[in-house]
Amino acid sequence: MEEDLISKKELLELTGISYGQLYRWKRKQLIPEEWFIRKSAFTGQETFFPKERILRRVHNIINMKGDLSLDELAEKLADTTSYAHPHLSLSAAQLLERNIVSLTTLNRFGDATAGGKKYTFEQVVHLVAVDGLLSKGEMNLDEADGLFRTLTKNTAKFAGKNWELFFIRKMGASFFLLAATPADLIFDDGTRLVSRLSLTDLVEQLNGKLN
Amino acid sequence: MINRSNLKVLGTSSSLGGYFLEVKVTGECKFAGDVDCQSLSLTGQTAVSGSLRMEKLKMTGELSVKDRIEGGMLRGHGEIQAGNVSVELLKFSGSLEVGGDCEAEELQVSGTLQVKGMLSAETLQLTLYGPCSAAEVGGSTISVKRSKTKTLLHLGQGQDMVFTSGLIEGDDVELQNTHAGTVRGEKVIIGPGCVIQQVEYSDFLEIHKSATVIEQRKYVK
Repeated sequence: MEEDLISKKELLELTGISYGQLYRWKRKQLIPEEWFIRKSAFTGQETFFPKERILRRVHNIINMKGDLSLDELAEKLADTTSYAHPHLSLSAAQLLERNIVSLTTLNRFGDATAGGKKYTFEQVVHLVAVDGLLSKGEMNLDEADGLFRTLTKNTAKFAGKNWELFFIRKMGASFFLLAATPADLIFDDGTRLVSRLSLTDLVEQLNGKLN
Repeated sequence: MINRSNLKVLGTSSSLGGYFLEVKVTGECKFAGDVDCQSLSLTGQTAVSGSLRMEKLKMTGELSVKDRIEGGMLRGHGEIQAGNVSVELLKFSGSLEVGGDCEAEELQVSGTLQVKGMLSAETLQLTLYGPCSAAEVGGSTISVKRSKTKTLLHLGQGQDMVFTSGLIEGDDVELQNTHAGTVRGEKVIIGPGCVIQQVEYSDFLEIHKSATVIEQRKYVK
């Protein structure tokens, strides 16, 4: 899956932030180095960003920076375990109401996790991951079952560290890979990387909806 | 809790590095590993073959750090060579050579500067005494000026006092004697001696009559 990119100029136009702010946030590591993608365009070298992720990040920074200093913010963004809400629990109704998880996903996977009660933060993250891939039409329901089982069984092994999910297909057969970030995986020629999700992205997406 | 003590070096010496409170070097000292200290005062020649982390550094002479200089305040005169630099305040005159990126909140350098990667600072003030370069520059307020003293002392020899960069981006940009590919900013002042391929600005642009700008474009914010 090729991510949508946005050029630096478009980003500044869209969000109203200035070059100074962007470089300040980069220095403070509020925006990860890997997101600065250099490409040659007809005007010379241009910097691009993964569109969805950078817009969400900028939005979160702007929302949070009123209460926190940039250094505190950097810590918060870097450390997913604190950035996450360990004590969060949401009911099925809340998940639906805030548009976090769709009804289809919840009906299929919801009961399996919590017996109709509250969902923990980790469970919500898993639901968001499955829901995202399903709603984009990148995965069918059987595969979703597999993914959900994989996540539930294995994410605890990362013990709070960041992980990434790779969803690949080859000759019609699908696979899931979980790797600790940052991971650079190289696949052979016939393999198609359908989707790539990182815990940070999921958490950020979720935080955006909770705030 | 890490046990920190003071270190004082007089003459020629070497150290393995480690954690210190206050380090004072007068003469020559080689550190064979990482150095982490609160304050560092150097006179003479110092080499660190790992990273250097400090709250305060004051120096006169030469300093080379193989990996990274990181910390609060760095000020002094002389020559610095480092892999990467990331500090709050950098106030330095002399020659600064950085193999990777050089970052500071406030950066004032007069002398020569070579940054292979990105030069980034909230306020950046560069006074040219010789050839300077950085692959890319980014920040809020960027000002590059040639030294008046050197221009007066060596009339007609100012040709080598040029700052070269591929891309300069900031909010307030003021340049002199700069050769750059692209300059972008809200308020851009292109001073004497500049050769710029492309300028993009949103609010204000001024070009000195002796400067060359191949292409200029106003964009709407």
